[in-house]
Amino acid sequence: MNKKNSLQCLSIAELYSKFGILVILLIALIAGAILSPAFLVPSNLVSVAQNVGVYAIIALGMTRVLIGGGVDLSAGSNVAMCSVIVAAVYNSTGSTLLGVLLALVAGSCIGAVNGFFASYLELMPFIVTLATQMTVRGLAYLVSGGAPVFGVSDSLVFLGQGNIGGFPMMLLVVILATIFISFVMTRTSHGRYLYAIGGNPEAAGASGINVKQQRFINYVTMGTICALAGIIYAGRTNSGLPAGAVNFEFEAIIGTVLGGTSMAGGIGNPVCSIIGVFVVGIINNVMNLCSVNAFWQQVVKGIVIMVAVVLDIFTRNAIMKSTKKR
Amino acid sequence: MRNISKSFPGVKALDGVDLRVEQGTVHAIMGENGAGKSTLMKVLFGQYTPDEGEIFLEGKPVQLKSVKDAVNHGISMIYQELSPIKELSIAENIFVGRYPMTAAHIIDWKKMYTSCQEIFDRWGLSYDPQTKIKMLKTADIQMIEIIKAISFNAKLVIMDEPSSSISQKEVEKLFDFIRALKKEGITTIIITHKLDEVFTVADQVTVLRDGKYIGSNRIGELDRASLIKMMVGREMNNLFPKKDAGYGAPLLEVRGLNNGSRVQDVSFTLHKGEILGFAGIVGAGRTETMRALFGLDPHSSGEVIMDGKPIQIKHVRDAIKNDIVMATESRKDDGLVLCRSVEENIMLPSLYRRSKGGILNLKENRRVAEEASHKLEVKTSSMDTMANFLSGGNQQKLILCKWLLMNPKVLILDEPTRGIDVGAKWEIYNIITGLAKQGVGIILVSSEMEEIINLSDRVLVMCEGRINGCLEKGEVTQEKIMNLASEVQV
Repeated sequence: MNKKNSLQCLSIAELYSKFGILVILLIALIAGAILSPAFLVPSNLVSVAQNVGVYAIIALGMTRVLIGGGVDLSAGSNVAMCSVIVAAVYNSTGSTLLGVLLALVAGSCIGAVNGFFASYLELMPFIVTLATQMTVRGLAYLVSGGAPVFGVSDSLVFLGQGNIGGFPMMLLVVILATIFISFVMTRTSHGRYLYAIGGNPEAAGASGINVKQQRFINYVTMGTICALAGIIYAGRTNSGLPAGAVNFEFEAIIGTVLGGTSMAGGIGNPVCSIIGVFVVGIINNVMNLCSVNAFWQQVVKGIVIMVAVVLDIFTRNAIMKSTKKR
Repeated sequence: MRNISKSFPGVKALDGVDLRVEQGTVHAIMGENGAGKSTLMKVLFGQYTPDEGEIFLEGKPVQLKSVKDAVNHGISMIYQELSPIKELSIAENIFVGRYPMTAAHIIDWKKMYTSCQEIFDRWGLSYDPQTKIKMLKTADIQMIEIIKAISFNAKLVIMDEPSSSISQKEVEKLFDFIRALKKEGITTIIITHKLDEVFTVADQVTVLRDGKYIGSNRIGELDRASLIKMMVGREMNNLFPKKDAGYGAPLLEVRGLNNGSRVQDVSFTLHKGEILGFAGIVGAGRTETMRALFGLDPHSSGEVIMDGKPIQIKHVRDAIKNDIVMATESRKDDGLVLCRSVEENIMLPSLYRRSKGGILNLKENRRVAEEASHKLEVKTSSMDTMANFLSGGNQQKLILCKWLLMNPKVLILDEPTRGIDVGAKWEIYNIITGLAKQGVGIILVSSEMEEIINLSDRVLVMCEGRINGCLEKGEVTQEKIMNLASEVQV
């Protein structure tokens, strides 16, 4: 009896981690349409996409990090620093390409620092990335001289704000990046290794996987992805904001967990994470359209986080329980 | 205790066991690994509720539904793995959960320390109640646990292999203390593997085997040989596939492998097509030896020679590169990624060989995984099923699958049939002997005597981190293994 129950529980959990977020997206869309006539309008949906684009890019990296059994709290700071680099390099040299390359290198280096401490020195990723969160924020201020750096090239502005025949560039970037990350996670050995490592690092190690190296690569990639997000962020805001992108890592984590990725590792899917991020974006948008008081918006957001965490525990527990039965 | 039975899914752990312990004596419980000793004690301590049977305490029937019930009836248990709260003091550990309180409901530290000191004085122990537990050695912590047990007014103290992790000298100290308890009229039940200890400290011994009661005797009426006979004298059933005796040329040679006290100077040779059994009691260092050989644990010294060439194994991937693979002891801990699919688990070690520039051919992968799982008859609804949903036997086959895909020359199996049913065991035995026929060298670590005796070409017996003896196929008997496993030969 018991076993059957836990199996049923597990299949629900499994179903949720696969398709649940689609149902939630549907509910959010319907609820939005009912609550505000201005919601289900192309121009509004485009603005939702543009609002969550940066979160979505970060969420792709965050999904990988969470699947691998880690977490990255330095993402927001990294985005801010990279946006500052892009803007500062453009303003002093006039080169977009140089700024983009430097930002990608810098972002990856931050990832490498996280990876070195969290993977090779086996420190807790939470603490390591909390430390880099502060350090990198400080670096962003140092690079910018404390003030925002205004102005980036037109091509970046086009990337962050433009559209092709009404289709936002930002969304195009998100879709391409999602396809790429999905490919990596399902069709490369590196992706399979990350799932295995997050699911059971001992078993992965005992199967001959270089666990530390794979985790390190994961953090470095996360840094690169944050740099990409930073470049887009610079285009979107037309500036490098050292005080910007605060808490973006949490926006990404909320969307990712809502999308069924487990905080405990081993389970998750980049596509679902992106949908999760959009659901959060839709909730925000609908509340704005209904002119919900800003303080109430915060309360609702907190509740959404709680729901996401409960769902995470629910999924994980169901799996753990049926594990213990054996 | 009368007629105690307890079943776990797939296993009958206890089958009508009787136990009669006289007040004020030291009673030893003996038996092989998996004989049901610990289960019986957990029933007595209220951790498991028996399916059948009654427990009598001082002549009266009692119901022990929880540990709390057992403690209230004056029963205490000291586990093999001690779990003190390391950051707290001795006194706090003894009084945890029942701190003496002042009138204002604040912990009465003074009273706690003095009453703790009183207990120590009474038993002639020289510990300072304020010392933190983490400063103490294992043997001392054990003593504290016993004191804690007695301080609950325990009349019956159960000790699960108390001597397994402490030195010889400390064991003597422990036994002196047990004798002191006896003088006070406190009864002790001691689970042990070691024959010498039984003859030193126990008054009476009860032997269990395969969850059944075998016999109970006063120590004076027994000698070593008859005790061993009681422990192992089981009928052999013919549940083993036949394998031609004999093996080929030397394949793997291990010389002087060391890792701390668990692996000491281990040397052996494995031949092509040989099944080399490793016997010994739990904790004899067999698993540790294999982990060191496979690169899961470091080894401080030792040479490994494969096909005549010395090789270096620092990581698991070094071992795999040299075609040495190991199916680890625990499916859950380091055998499988339970939250991932059957296919992913099967393919995990061989992905790097099958990917081109890191990119996988999903169709090819699926085909290979399906083929491998069909070969070993893994029962699963699909390749995408989570490994977690498979039964123990099928999970074990999954582990074999993933390693057989690597075409190993040396296959190390650590307890390959633990906790799986008879049918699945038979299938796994067939797989093992089949591989040996193909020339794979197989190291079989197992605590199941039958398995070791019937499958192995040679049996190495380990004891306290050393290889204690080697038995050839014809001469292996349970008695010989038990003798070698329970005492270090000089």
